Amino acid sequence: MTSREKEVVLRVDGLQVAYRQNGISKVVLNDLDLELRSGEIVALLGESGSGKSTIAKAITGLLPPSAQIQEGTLQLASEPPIHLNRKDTDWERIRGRRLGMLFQDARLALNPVLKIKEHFRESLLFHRLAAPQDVLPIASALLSKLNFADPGRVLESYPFQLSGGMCQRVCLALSLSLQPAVLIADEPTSALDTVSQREVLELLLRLQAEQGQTVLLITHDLAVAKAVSNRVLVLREGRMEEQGLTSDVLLRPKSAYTRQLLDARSHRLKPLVLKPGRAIVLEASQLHKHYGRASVLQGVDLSVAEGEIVGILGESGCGKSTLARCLTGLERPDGGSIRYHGKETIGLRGRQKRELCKQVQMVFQDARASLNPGRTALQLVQEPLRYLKLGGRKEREAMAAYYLHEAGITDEAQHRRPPQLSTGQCQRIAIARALVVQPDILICDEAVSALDMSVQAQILKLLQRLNRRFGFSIIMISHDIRVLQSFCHVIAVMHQGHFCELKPGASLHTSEEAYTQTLLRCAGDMEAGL
Amino acid sequence: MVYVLVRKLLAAVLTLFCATLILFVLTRLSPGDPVKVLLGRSAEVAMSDTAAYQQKADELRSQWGLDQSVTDQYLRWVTGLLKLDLGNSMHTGRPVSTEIAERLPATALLAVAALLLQLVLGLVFGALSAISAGKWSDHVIRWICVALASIPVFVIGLVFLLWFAVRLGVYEISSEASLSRLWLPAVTLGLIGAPQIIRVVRANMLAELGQLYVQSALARGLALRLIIRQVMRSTLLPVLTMASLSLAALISGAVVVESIFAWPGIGKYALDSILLKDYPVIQGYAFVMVTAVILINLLTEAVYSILDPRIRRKGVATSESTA
Repeated sequence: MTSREKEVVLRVDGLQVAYRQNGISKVVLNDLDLELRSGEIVALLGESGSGKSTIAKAITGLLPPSAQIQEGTLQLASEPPIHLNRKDTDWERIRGRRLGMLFQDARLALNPVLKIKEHFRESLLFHRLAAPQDVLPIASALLSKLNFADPGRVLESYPFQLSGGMCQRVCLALSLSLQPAVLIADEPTSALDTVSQREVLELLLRLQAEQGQTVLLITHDLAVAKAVSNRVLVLREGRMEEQGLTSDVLLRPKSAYTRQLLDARSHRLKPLVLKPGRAIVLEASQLHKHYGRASVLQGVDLSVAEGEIVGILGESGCGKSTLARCLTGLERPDGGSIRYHGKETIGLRGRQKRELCKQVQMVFQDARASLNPGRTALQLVQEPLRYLKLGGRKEREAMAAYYLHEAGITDEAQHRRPPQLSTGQCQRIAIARALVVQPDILICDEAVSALDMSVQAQILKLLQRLNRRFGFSIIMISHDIRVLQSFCHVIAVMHQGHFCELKPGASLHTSEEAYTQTLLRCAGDMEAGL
Repeated sequence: MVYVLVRKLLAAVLTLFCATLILFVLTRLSPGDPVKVLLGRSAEVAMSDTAAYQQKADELRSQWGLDQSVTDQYLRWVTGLLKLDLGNSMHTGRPVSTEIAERLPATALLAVAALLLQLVLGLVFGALSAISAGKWSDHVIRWICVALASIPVFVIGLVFLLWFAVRLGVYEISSEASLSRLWLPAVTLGLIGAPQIIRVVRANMLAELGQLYVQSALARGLALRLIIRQVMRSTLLPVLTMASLSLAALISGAVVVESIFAWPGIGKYALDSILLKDYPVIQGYAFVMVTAVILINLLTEAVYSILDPRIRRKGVATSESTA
């Protein structure tokens, strides 16, 4: 199928958008043109800050007040073009019916106090697409088409009773119920685990095949683009860097920037070899944890040697984060023991618990949210030293500067605050802050999951370098098999609250465990294209 | 659900018990002797004839049980409470419960009317302010709020009385509790309390309008007015908290307004009793107020769980299996 003969369903011409901040206007989209033809899936690729979400918001009239559309027209099918810089656009006619939209965090995209059926009801009735008595049949038909085994129950549920993947499929059904000409999906799978991700992408492909649905897929993930799109547009700093058929662009990139993105992805860290006979730093055995009736940890055993990098792989909800919280003492397990250097730590209080902080540090997924926005990088890294009463003032500052430098934060950036820094820089600061107390173990809870591919590779390389230099152990928690495979000495596969497999990182792909194979297959399919 | 309800009720009973202890002790600790107040002017007589005065005082003391130990007095009062008997007033000799029951409806009527006005003003102007955030109408509303919140209630009350009753003559000055006399004190209390609710509505609505689900509803082409109706529901939760606090404050703290407008409510009665050191009345009044506040809070929590399903079904997640 060549998309050339198909009619154009959406055309954007000369889109120019600027953000006003503190009286300074910053251009985020510069003279951008875009064309979607009927029945194609076009991937809009770019790193965070490249302006890809701004495009989606600009053509749906959802930009925040601080953004200003300076120029640009939107043409739907063969209708007269709409001037986006004017304020008289009748968006109620366009949004939903002509342009459907999916968001990254589907759970938040649904009203928490309304049942799913109410969402369908208000949309369908408002657009006069169904009589009141037809709403439920239409909705359940759509839901069952989107792989829901029990649409009736889903319709009676509230969003918080559904998983992230289910919410995204509900959002998809909601969008489709209005039969939009174009579906704009803004990072629809980035917040999902591998299995749900694959399911949503497969659905998009099926919709294209069965109904000729046109999709604009906004993503930072090359694997996602490769798996489903016909064409790729690469966006860089608000300009179109490169575009073409997916196979052409991803196999034979013309622009250096695209090549860089591809390299970041295929980058493999050197395999790690650990000398045998190292001392055990941490030993956890038979950890149990319940929340109400739900049993989250069901007998987890884990041992970490000095300098070892242990990966914990699992889908969302398998208990990985609870495990991390137990290991750091943020949460008290209901049963089992956690020993650091042979000393039991469960139930420690006061000064002894603070001593534990010195040994175990944690880095979180959302680096920006884990840093106080009012403090400079240098102040942030001194925080734990002050809390643990380590060193004098001068000494603390020198230590902080040293670790920031090691984490790749330049002297100039050390005096900036999180809002003025990139997400990658924030994660570097978070890592420096964790390392400044010289812990024996660093726990990274999805520490690279929210980062762009290239930044992700940088951070992983940084962690590996620091691990060699300072000799601490790392527990890396992730749902991303690709991240762990190249990074960890040992990977523990976690499923429903216990480890179902423990294997060296390099040989995980030879696993015979059924669950591991499922995960591997999903990841493999994504690589190869669905 | 039943378990939660039972737990809440037990907690309420425990709170009530603690409250009886505290308010009993506080009444006894406060300076002054009720018997001396009771004997009143005859104190002059007392100066001339100490023995007669002392005998009279002792009689009164034993009549009201004040000669017994504090523990005995407390126990007697609490056993009375269990039988729904608040005791008799030391001054009128009538049952406290009857006296309170006579005055409570007037206060409740005033409080409810004022609260309704506060809510209407709060929701309408709060929503208006949020929707037009940053525009002139928002600024005007916020300035008026600051102004209203800065004026003491007795100033507004007296000014209103001067205007409406004296100058315009549209408000009848008397000490009757009638519907025709309700509006002015209600408006006064409503205006005083509205700014708080306006502020809460505005802040919460702005936060709610920034949520992704609002964007997503807009992206489905829904009209803003429809979405605002949905947002209102989420905004109602914190407003409810404010309203319940406000209602408690209105019932127990309407003293000033009741005095200004000569509204025969419970506030004035309580004030007089405190000055007279009428122990049974003070204790009875405080007990009724504590009960009212606890009941209002219980009711609020119940409405909370109706408005927000997450509170109702906390922690119950479905695991729908997918094909």
